[in-house]
Amino acid sequence: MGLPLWLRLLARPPVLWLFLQSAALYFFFTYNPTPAHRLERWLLGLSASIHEIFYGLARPWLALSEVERLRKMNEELLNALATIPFPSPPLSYPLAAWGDFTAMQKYRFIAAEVVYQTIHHRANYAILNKGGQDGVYPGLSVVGHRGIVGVIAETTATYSVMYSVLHRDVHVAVTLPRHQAVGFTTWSTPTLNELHVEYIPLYISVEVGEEVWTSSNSLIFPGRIRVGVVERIESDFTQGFHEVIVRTYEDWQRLGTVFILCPAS
Amino acid sequence: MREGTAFLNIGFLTLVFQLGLARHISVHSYAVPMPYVMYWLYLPLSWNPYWGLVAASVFGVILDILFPPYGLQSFCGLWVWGLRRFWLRALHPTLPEKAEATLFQRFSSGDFFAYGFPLTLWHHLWYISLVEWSLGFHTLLRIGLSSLYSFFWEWVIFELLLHRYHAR
Repeated sequence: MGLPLWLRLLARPPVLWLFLQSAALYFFFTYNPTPAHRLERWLLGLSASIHEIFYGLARPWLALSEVERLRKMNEELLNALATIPFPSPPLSYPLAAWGDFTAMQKYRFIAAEVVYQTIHHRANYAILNKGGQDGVYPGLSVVGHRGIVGVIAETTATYSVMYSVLHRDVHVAVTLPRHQAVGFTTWSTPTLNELHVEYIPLYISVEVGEEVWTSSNSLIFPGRIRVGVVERIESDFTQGFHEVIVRTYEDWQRLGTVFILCPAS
Repeated sequence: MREGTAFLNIGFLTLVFQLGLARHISVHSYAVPMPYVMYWLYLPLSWNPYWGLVAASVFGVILDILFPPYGLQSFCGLWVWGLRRFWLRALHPTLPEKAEATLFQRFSSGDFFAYGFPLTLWHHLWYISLVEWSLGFHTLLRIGLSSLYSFFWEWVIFELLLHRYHAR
């Protein structure tokens, strides 16, 4: 009894040769990652090319649909914006409406000369030729002919140290008289005669050239003393406040006679 | 029986050559000698094809184990073994079948080149292109140079060993 025909066919040397070649190739492709990687890369390249071609063809339609999508989004946003209630700004009254309270506080002006001053420090100060013997004590405010200058920090019998408003630790409550908005001065960058006024809300429409006065909230200075003029506005919308840069009326490099304000009572 | 031990010796010799020497005498990566192709060229043509297939495959498997990637040596070696009879018939159409047993005794260097080099080239074409998975200029250069270099060593074996061996 001989072998069946199909088995005889399969057992022929060329068929066995083919079978062994196939087995060898199977092992090669199974244990060698390079062809699979190359094939994968080639297929990726092919698919990228196909996508690029189709994208190039469809680009005008995609652009049109994008424009349409943006138009609709804009419309929706405008509609949504129309329904958002904006916070109403506080009522502002003319200065005179509340009367002038400055008369309630009487001050004595002590004239003093600057005998020494720093200019390019972050903590600028000046030494004045009036001290404790003249009734000067720490915490008094100092003004010049044109506006505020600083605050008395230390005194001896005959001299006193005045911290300038251009000092990193001196913050003065100021106001924009047109709006009665209160802010605080800071000075951290060494730019002489420039103060930053912070915490002015964004709904206040500050304008360049506006005057800045001391606020009656100030614990150091009496209210309504001129500080400077708004030079520029750098609004930071992420913080919710304006940052107002004010050019001081007093020129720190040309201080002459200054006046220490001492409460009369 | 004499030719049976001879092809085993060739197989062993070329394996030792490949293991110990080939790496050191390669010319960068462009000319790598693989004289073990000689084994498939030298397998007796007068044998039963089944035994020939077994002998060719076993040598291929040994090479696969020693020099991966697995399967590739068997694949390329079986190509050489499968084509060599057709190639010989194409070169010498009038060669009588009985003469196949004393083939290497009759071969001159020129005959051996005509028989061995195209088959070595065919082996290297498959082997190197599949290993690199490329058919670029550098791959083709490697195939050509390696084939020449391999054949040089095959020729050395043929001239120094086989020619003398068959002449005895």
